[in-house]
Formats: sequence, structure tokens, C-alpha cells
Amino acid sequence: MSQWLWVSEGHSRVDTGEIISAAGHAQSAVECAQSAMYLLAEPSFHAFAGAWGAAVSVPGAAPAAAASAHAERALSRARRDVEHLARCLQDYADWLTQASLIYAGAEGGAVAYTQACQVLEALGCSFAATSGSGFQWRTGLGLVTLLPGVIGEFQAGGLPKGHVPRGALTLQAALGDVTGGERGLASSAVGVARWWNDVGAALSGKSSGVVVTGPDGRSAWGTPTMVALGVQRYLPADGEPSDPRVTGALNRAQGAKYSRSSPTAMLAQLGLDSAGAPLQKRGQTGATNLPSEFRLGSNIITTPAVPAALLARVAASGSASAVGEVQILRHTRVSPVAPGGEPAGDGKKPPSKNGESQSWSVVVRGTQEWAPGSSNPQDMQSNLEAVGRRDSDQEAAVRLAMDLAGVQPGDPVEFVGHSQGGAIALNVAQDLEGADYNVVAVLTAGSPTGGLAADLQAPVLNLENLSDVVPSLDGSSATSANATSVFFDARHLPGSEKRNAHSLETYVAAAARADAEKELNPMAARVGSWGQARAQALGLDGQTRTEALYYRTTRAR
Amino acid sequence: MARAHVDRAISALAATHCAGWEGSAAAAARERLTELAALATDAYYQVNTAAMLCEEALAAQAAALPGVEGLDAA
Repeated sequence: MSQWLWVSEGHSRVDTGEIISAAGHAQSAVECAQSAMYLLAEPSFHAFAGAWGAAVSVPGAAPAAAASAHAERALSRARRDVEHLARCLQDYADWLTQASLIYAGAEGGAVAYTQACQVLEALGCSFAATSGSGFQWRTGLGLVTLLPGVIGEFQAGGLPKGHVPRGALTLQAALGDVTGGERGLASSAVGVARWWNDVGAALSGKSSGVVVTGPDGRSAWGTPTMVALGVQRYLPADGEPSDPRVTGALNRAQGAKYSRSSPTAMLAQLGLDSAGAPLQKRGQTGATNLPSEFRLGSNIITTPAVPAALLARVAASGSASAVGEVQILRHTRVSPVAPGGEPAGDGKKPPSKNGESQSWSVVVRGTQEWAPGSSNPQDMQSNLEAVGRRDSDQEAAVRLAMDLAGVQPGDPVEFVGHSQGGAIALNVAQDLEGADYNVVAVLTAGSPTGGLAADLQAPVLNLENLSDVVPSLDGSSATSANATSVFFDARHLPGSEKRNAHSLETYVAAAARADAEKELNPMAARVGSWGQARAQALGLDGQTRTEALYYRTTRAR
Repeated sequence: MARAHVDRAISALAATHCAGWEGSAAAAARERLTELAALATDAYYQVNTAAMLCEEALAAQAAALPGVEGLDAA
């Protein structure tokens, strides 16, 4: 099995120097095996055997010819074995090289990372000497205007085979170096966010919070501060003069035309059904186990049983230029009846009178708008505020959507987000955990998570493609107390050459492969155990009914 | 010579063990190292066997040469 992912978690203990040394030894082993391989392939070894194999007509020569033929076969097998060994050793050396770079960057910062690169290069370890846009980045205008183009440049298969991708790690080190480390980067992002906000106000008018409208027609409005204080307003507000900006935002949200992608199609391309199970095992999972009435409603979906299926739900969130969307999955489970005739609870929260218990998945999509002054809160403004660890309109939108959906403090709730959505998910999760909400899990994919949610106790799974620059925009590694960061080389995923390094499909494919290898690969097992714990905490099983609720979001401006 | 190179590869491989490394990645590295050690041991055995058979074949050729006539010296 090829090693395509690396894990960094809370209990990791690393002596980076030791791994760098190991990578050097592994590279020496590769060179020795290659030397042996070349020697075994030399024609002189085989010429005599061929000659004697053809010269068996003379009495007395037959035993020698037979011995030569035997030796020839043994040589061929030895050559094949050593060739295979050399290839496997090269994979191992690359893997150790990448591990040492990851840990050097994550634990020692930019200086240690640079030193690690120099030492590894001196040891002959192979990784591409990239000199892309990552080195040219600077904070401020240069950073934010370069972003969309740079993301496009880093393709999943962007480096030649045999080279370890390191564009994202290089960028992380460079960003930290330029801005003076993690705190400097956050401070720079805040400064740029303020400037960006001023530009947006000049172009499109001053923003005054965010309006969220739900599938049942209920709507709410609030600024990040109002939402944090719990004083958001529900619309229409009886007895109050309506703010034309709020009214206009509500009309805009309700009239938006969305385009959506299909999570089912995305998973089917990976050979999975919409629950995330292999298609050939379809009959064992998902909707087919549900009572028939649960399959009739238009918003009833197959319960996403595994991380890949959960992440694929992001694709179902709508996109429009001025209006964003937050998707909330309501999982309802009818508890079995206890011997006394009462529905059995889970021990933490009693089921309702009708025996139903609820849990929630909050699905947050990534950046949709890059220009300043957008009315869509899934924009660059929210990116800068998230990285700068400031409350954003998108966070307010998520909290308003949860409020409208009816998420209660005791209900188990998980968050999942791609790109910006992951950073927003982490920030909201930490805020709500501090407000006694029952946050059970967070999944981020391709998100800048460093410095965010440092006090979050819920288990966090961060997926980061090594060729994707976006997770490195934080300039540091993940900081959540219970975070497991999975770094992966997307070139090992089938069809990677067709996908962008930052695309949702790339991350869904990685999650699917990790899930498939959870019983074989110790690091993929971390993904499996996170998924298992999350499903258990949410009470997901064959009796769970899941409904997708979509909340439209737009700024009041 | 090939034997010596494989032998050195095994020695270098043994030096890649990182005693101070803990966590899932370390567990994966150790598992990979175990697999590679098995592969390397097998490769060493095959190279050693091939070397011995080559020596035997050369000895057989040397023994047969005086009695061989009309051998095509390809």
C-alpha cells in the first residue's frame, strides 16, 4: 500500500532531527539498492548463461548449461526483487522526507522548515525545488488579489511523479516569515480586513449585518455582535420601522436563483452511494433501510454515514452571486421503547415525548465571492476576518440559520466546512461550545485552521492536501485541543489529474480513500475512528431520518 | 558486489527507526519499516542465492571447457 497521508494529532511526539536523519538513511538505502539493481542488470552476468544454454549439444557440457540456466533464472528473480525493493525504499524515503518537512514547519516554524529543506537537500532527499508564487506573496493587497489565481495554479497533479509536493508548506513558512509568525499574520489579516471592508463600503454601501431566510419562510437579521449577544431580530419585525437595507436583503435572498451540485453524483464517481458505502453494498446502508415515508419528502436525504458522504453534502449548498447559503441537516431518530413503555434515552438527553431525538450537522460552503463590497457573506471579507480571528458576517449567518432551524443547546451538533467554511465552522463551534451547546465533532477540508478554536474540546478532523495553498493561509498548524490533521498527497488518488488541488472533489476522494483504508493503514484509522465517534455521538444508524434544510444568507447593505 | 550493496541498504534501512517518534504517523512508519525489512531480507536471500548459483555455474563451465569442442563462443 502506498503511503499517501500523514497525521499530526495531539499525542504526536516528534524529534524532527531524528526524522530528518532517518530520511537521509532511507535515501542512502535507495541508492544502495539501485546500485545492486544496476549490477544485477549488467549484460556480462547473463551472457555466459545464454551462451551455455545454447551449447548443450556436446556431451559433458549439459550439466554446465543447466547450471547456467538455473543461475540465469535466479539472477532474473533477484533483479526483480531488488528493483521492487528500490522502488519501495524510494516511496519510504519520500514519505519520511515529507514527514520531516511537515513536522519542521508545524512545530518549528519557518526557520526550522527552511533548515530542514537545506539539510534534506544536502542528504540527497528528493523533493521539487519549487519557486512558484508562494515565495512572492506578501500581506495586503498583493495577497488578496493573487489568491484566486494562485489557487488555480496549484493542481493536484501539479508536480512530476516522484517529487513530494511542498507548495503549501512552503507558502505557510513564507507567510509566517513575512508577517513575523502566527500572531503577525493574524494582525496583518485584521488590518487588511478593515481596509477591505472600507473599500466594500465605498463600492456597495455600508454593510449592516446579515439576513437569513429559511425554508419555512421565517427569517432573521443580525450583526455579528447582535448574534453573539443573542439579540438578533426576527422578520418581519412587528411594530418596528423596517430598515430598507434589511427589507432589500430579504427580497434579494428570497428571489435568488441558485445553482447546486449533486453530492450523490460526486460520491458515485468514487464508487460510493450517498451514505458513503461502496455501491455494491448499497442494500446494507442508507435510505433503503428507512421506512418508506421517510423517502418521500423532497428534503429527506440519505444520512451521511461516513466523513466522505458528510463532506460531499457541501456540494448541495446553493451558490448565487449576492446570496449565500447555509445547509443544516436535521437527524431524527425514533428511540426504541424501553421495557416500561417509555422511549429509552441515550443517557445524556432524554428523547422527546414521542420518542424522537434530534441531532444536527451544520454544513458550511467555502468562498463564493472575491470582490470587495459583495452582499454574499461567503466572501473575501469573511476570509480575512476568519483568519484574523474576528467575528464575521458568515459566522453570524451560520448562527442565525441554526437558530431558525431550532438547534437547541443540548442537541448533539457537528460542523463541516470546505475552505472558508472550515474556518467558519471552527469559530462557530468554539463560540457555541462556550455557550453550552453540545458540539460533538468538526470536519474541515482545505481550510486555514491554525490559531483557530484553540480551546475547542470537540474532536476536530482537518483534511489538508499538500498541494493546496489554502490550508496554509493561516501561516501555522492546527491548534484545536483535540485536532487531528491529515496531510495527504492527492496524486495518489484516482482521477487526481482532472481535479484542482483545492476542489471539494479532491477532499471527498481523500476522505473516501482514508475510510476505505481505515482497517489497513494506522493513519487512515484516525479518520475512521473520528467518523465512528461522530456517528455515535449524533446517534446515526439505520433508523435515522435526515432532512436537509437550506438557509439563504445575504448582507443588509 | 550486489550482495554488498543490498547489505548496505539493509543497514541504512535499520538506521531509519525513530525511537522518539510517537503517534499514528510513527506507527505507520514502523509498520512500513517492518514491511521493508521483510522485503530487503528476501531480496538479500535472492541475491545471495543467485550469486551462489552463478559461482556453481562458473565452476561447471570451467570443468566442462576442456572437453567441449565446437562451442559457439557467443
